[in-house]
Order: sequence, then C-alpha cells, then structure tokens
Amino acid sequence: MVKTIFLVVIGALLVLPMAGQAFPVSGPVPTRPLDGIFDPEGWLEESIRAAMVRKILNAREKQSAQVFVVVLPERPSDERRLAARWGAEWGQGNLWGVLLHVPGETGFPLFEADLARSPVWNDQQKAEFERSLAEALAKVRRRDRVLPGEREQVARGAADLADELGYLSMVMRRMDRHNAQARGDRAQRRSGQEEQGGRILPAAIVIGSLGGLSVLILFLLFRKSGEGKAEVEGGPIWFPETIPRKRFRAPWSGGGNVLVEFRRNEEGDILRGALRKFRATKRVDNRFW
Amino acid sequence: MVADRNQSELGEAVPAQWLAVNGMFCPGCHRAVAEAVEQCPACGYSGGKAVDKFPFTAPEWQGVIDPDGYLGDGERREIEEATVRLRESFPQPRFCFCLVGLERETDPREFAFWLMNASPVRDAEEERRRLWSVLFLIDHAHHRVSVTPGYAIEPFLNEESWRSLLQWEVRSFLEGDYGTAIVRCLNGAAAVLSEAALRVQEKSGRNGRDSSW
Repeated sequence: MVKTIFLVVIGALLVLPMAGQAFPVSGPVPTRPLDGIFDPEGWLEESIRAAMVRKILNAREKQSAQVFVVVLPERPSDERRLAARWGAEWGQGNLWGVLLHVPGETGFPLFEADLARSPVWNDQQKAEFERSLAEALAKVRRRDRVLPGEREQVARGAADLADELGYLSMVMRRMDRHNAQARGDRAQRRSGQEEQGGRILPAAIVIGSLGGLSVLILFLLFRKSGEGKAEVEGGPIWFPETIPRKRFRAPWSGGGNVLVEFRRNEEGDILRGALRKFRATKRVDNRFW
Repeated sequence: MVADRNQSELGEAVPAQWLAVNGMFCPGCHRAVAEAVEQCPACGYSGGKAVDKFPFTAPEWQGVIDPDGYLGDGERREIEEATVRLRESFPQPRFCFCLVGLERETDPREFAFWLMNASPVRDAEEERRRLWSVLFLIDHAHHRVSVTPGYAIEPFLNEESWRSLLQWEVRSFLEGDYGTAIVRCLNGAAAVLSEAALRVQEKSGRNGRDSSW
C-alpha cells in the first residue's frame, strides 16, 4: 500500500509540470507543416499567412533553406529547446530556421536556426559560418524588435529569416562546391603523378621554368599598364550580378528617388557649412572667420 | 579597355533585395513601395502611364544627350576622357547625362524613369548596358538634377552619396557650367562606386564568400 502511494506521488510529481502544456518540450514532434507554418489555433490572418508562405516556399525551393513559423497558444516550458528540436526534425538535413511565437507573451517572437547536418568543412569555415548565422539571427531580431504589432513582427520576422537563411544557404552550397573542387583537383594530381612515375620530374622542371618566366613577363606588363591609372587598388572592380527587382512594368529601371534642386541661397549655406567643418577640423582661431 | 566578363565568372546571381541599400519608390507619386509591384498600390502608376504622359519618341541612348547644345566640343571630350578613366576602374556601370529644359510641374525623376525605359534598345549588348546605366537628368530650366539607376546597378548605390556628390557641385550647376559639373560628378562617382564595392565586399566577407563574388 505504502509502495503504491509512493509510486502515485512520484508519478504525479513527474506529470504535474507538464499539465496544461499542449506542447511539452520532450513530447512528440508534430508533423512537418508542408507550407512551413504551424498555427493550430489559426492566430495568423489569411493575408499575412499567404505572404509568409510565399516567402518560405521561395527560400525552400530556390535556396533549400527550411523556414518554419510556429504559433503556439501557450508558452512551453523551454521554448528555445522546443524550437531547436522541431527545427532540427523538420529541417531534413538542410539549414533551418524557426520563428516561434506565443501571442500575448513577452520575449516573442523568438528565432532559432541551425544546420541539420554535420558539414565537411574545415574549422575556419565552420567558425565563420556559425558567426554568420549568429549575426543573421541578431539582425533579424534587431529589425523585428522595432515593429509595433505582434502580427507585423511575425510577418516581417518570417520574411527576414527566409531572406537571411536563403542567403546563407547559398553561401553554404558554394563552400561545399569549392571544397569538392579542391579535393577533386588534389586527387587528380596525385593519380597523375602515380601513373607517370619518375618521368614527371624533368617535365615539371621545364614547365615550371616556362611558367615562372610567363608570370614575370605578365607582372612587368601589368605594372607598366597600371601606372597612373585608377585610384582603386587591385585593378577593375566587378559587382556581382543580381536578380533585379523589376517593377512598374518597366524593363530597364524602376526609377530613382534622388532629386536635388539648386537655389542661390543654398550655395551660401553649403559654403558656410564647409567653412564650419574646416574650422572644426583645423581648430582655427574664430577671430579670423 | 577592360574586357567584359560573363555571368559564370561573376558567380551566381543573388536577389537584389539582399544587397539593396535603398527602398523602392513610385516614380509617379514618390511613395515608398514595399515590394516589386506591377503598379503603385497608392496611385496605380506604371510604365504605361509614363508613356501616356510623355507621348513622344524618346531619344537615342548616348553618354551625353544634349539636344539644346549646352556642351561644347572641348567639354564633350573631357567628359569622354573622365568616362573612360572611370570605366577602367569600374567596367560595368554606364553613365549617361541628359540636359533638358523641363516644365516646372514635370518631375525630373519621372521624366528620367520614362527616358530610361522608353529610349530604344537595339541589341542584347545594349540591353545589358541599359541595366547597368545611371542616368543624370539635368533640368537646366529649373536647376534640378535627378539620378536614376538601372536595375543591375541599383542595389549597390546609396542615394545619399549621390545627393552629397551633387550638392558639392552646386556652383557649377547654378552657373550653367555643366561640362565642369559632369566631369566632377564622374570623378566623384569613383568614390561612390568604391564605397558600394566595399559594402558588397564587407557583406560577402561576413558571409564567407570568396573574393571573386
């Protein structure tokens, strides 16, 4: 009898902290939401939800970044752990991010993100990626905090998270590709050396000498042609190609918002401003002005 | 002359909004628009309305469009030299300066939007160049200047930098010394573009991109 009471009490102590929590941290993970939004109570308005789904699916299809928005009716005991667990489960080996929100509660929405696999990167790449991820999350949180309403915060937060993770996901793919290329090149070189055996050495000496001579000639040519040219160091600068924000059914430009109108008195203001700056910089005695 | 690079050398194209410094504005009512819309949600403006508003043939696209002949041969030569110098450092952007006298009620930003899109494009090369173009529209009748970028160069440019650059040329613009103003703008553009390149580099470095991006 005593043993039974003891077991009941222990059982009750274990179960009580979870009572009232619809989503315990250690409970089963719900089915992965196909549209990326888990909102069992339907707190999100349809228009906001549709915009978020567009962003989430875009990041998923184009960049393989898995973004999820979770809206829970009540606060779980350890919200960060819950977000991390669900994200890792739903992420399916990709970079994932979870926006977790509990309406009416402080400290939400919260953002968690990680990579649901162990990448084959070197330590420096791993550290750099972790730092970038932390910075991306901090940026999303910072932007989100200034928005007035909960729904605005969730909508904007989801869009920003999808943007940031989409970007990082692309960077990840590039790192993987570069690493694979580097490994492939090394393997190819090794196999070539094995095949040719001792014959490779004289050929390498000749090729090396010619290569060295070419590099020297090119260096001299470039130095000559670079004299007195651009102020920008390191040759011409190329901007990356972008996917444009085409708008207003205009093919080449969406317009600009820079407009400067010059007036006579403005000239005086600008010159006076320049003088003020000059005086402040040079610490010139005021009597002379 | 610096040879052009193809897309594969420049790496994967990234969505412009990841790099964009400025917001987007309606060329008609100048209100901010949150996303790339087909027509302004506030006033319904679109490229079609611009064509209706300026129902005449747009001029050919050139480095200098000066129908009233404000610039002399010497000035044109100086502008050409400054353009070539700039292109050696920044091969992609193309600068165009258009000098016109507009009606007071015509907004130069809207006129520039129309000109940039309505001026004929002959071939694929011209298409690419137009996207990388920056149009300085100088309204000599009312001492106004607007800056309008093409879609490709737009994400990298900070509008505030152009405003500062133009403000410093106030005297040349007011005195109608457009040749000097344009050459100085081109020289100053190197600083604006360098600043943009640094920003891109910073962003790419932060995210572990390689230097070729």
